Amino acid sequence: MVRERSRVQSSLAAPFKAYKVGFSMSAYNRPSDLPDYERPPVSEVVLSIQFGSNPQFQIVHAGLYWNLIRDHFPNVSEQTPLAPAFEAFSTPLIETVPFQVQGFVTPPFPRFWFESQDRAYILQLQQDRILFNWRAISNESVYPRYETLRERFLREVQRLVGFFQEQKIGALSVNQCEVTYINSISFGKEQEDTARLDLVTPLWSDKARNIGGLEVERTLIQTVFVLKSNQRPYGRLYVTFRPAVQTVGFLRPVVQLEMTARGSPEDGSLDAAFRLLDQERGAIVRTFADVTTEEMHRIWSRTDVVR
Amino acid sequence: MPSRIDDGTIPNVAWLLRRIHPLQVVMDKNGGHYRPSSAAFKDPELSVDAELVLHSLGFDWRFSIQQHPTHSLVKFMAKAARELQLPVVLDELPDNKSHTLVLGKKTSGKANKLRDSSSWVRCLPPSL
Amino acid sequence: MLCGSSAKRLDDDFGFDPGLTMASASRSSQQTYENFWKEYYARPRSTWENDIQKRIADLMKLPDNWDGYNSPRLREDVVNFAWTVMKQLMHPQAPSPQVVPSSGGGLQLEWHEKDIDLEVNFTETYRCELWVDDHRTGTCVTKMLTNEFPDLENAILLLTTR
Repeated sequence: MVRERSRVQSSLAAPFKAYKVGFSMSAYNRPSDLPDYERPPVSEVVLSIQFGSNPQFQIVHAGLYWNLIRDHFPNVSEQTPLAPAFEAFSTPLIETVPFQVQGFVTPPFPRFWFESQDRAYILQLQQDRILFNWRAISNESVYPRYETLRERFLREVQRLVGFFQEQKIGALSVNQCEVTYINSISFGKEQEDTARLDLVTPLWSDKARNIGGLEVERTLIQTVFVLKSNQRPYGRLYVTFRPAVQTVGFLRPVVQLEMTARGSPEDGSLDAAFRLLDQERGAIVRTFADVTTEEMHRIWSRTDVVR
Repeated sequence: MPSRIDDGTIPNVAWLLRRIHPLQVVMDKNGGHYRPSSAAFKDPELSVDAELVLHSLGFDWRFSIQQHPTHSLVKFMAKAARELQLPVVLDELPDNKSHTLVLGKKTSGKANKLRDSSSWVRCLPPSL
Repeated sequence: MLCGSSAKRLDDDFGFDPGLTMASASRSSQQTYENFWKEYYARPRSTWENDIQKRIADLMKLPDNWDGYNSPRLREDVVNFAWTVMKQLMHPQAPSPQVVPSSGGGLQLEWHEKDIDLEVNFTETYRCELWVDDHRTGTCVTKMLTNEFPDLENAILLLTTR
């Protein structure tokens, strides 16, 4: 089990002004029953909390907020805001084209990217959402693991809650939590062929390569799982295999496995939000093991199973 | 802060007047007429004017809409609210001695019963 | 793309976007199986969709105290949630609802036709109340809904097919 921490982590130990936000959380440890790998193919992880929109939270506040985090996130840019996301359950799953009402009355609130010096970490902020990314920026990047990212994200969310209190913006009520893992999976030089998805996942069969005598050029698989607790749905897990080109280091074709779990917490508190993030992460890691082949597990050095 | 106890100051047979915003007047295709939306009755502190107080001061229903000429107006009896376990409490304001509150959570069922109990005093169809 | 990740996708010809935060803002509209269904539901643009969007655009302009009774303005997150739910449940041929702001806050969608009174009042994200009164059968149902909507779906289906 690799417990080497990323070199970047040293920059995470920066001083942090503690805010009393009405709840406390003990350190989070990795559940012992989760599948684990020495070299997981994770290239990006995103933790996201969506909260009730608050018209008191204005663009000018984002600038004030940046002042609080500027030492750790010195680079700033503006992006198009992400559409609000909700998981509603009925008979059919019909894709919902997002409809944003923002901008009818007030100018649209952008999504700010606050990036760390090395650009491996991004804190994203928009009017109804805060997100925290880690991404591999070089071949030497080491995935710092969920527990580290979670701890940092919690501190940033607490900081935002404290900022809302200070600025009298109002309470932050969480309505959606989301975890995304992006994995870049390559076969090795002799099999750099994104059509050979059967080597990566049991969801695809080698037989599919010869249907009708036609040559497969690319394959995309998307599966949507319903996340349930006590027989009731609370969210969905989106699993997508798609062809991609690795852009870190030298260019090479890879299979990108993107897994996003999204759901609604039991209530609007941060406590419930982080419980749900942990639950979603657990669902992703377990499902990851199920939707990838043992051959790939050997390449990534799976450590939790006896061979 | 008004008293939260319904002490019967407003008698059961008193008419309570409630303004209806133009956006809350909807077409009832079942009955072929306009009706107030139940959404106009869902405030947990539903403001109304007690007509008998208005009369005692020499006013009538026109008082309720004098500042809101585009609004419609309905009336229902205090008894209708009380039958739904919704307290009716006089809540005088400096500029409105007839101001009254119908307190309590209004589920859709209760709001629709209140609406069913009400009748138009003045109905201005919404501009299309 | 959410951020400049380490891999560039080759999926321009796969248009299905599950609404992930990772999704890019624009995608190709080339026909795929997923796109077929997407466009089946999206084209022609439903009457109800146009009607609701126009109405919501107007309602979002309402200030605090819009009704003279101190009702708060509509909340964007509640409106977005209502839209997500309706978009998922409404058949293209479903009749347009009347969209009404609720006193005290919230957004109500209601239908009064085909001997049915159907109302759904959204007060928070993941919190709405369904009220259905079917005059033909005498059935009247009130139910609080959070994230499961089969009852609302059935009511809309009845309204669409009756």
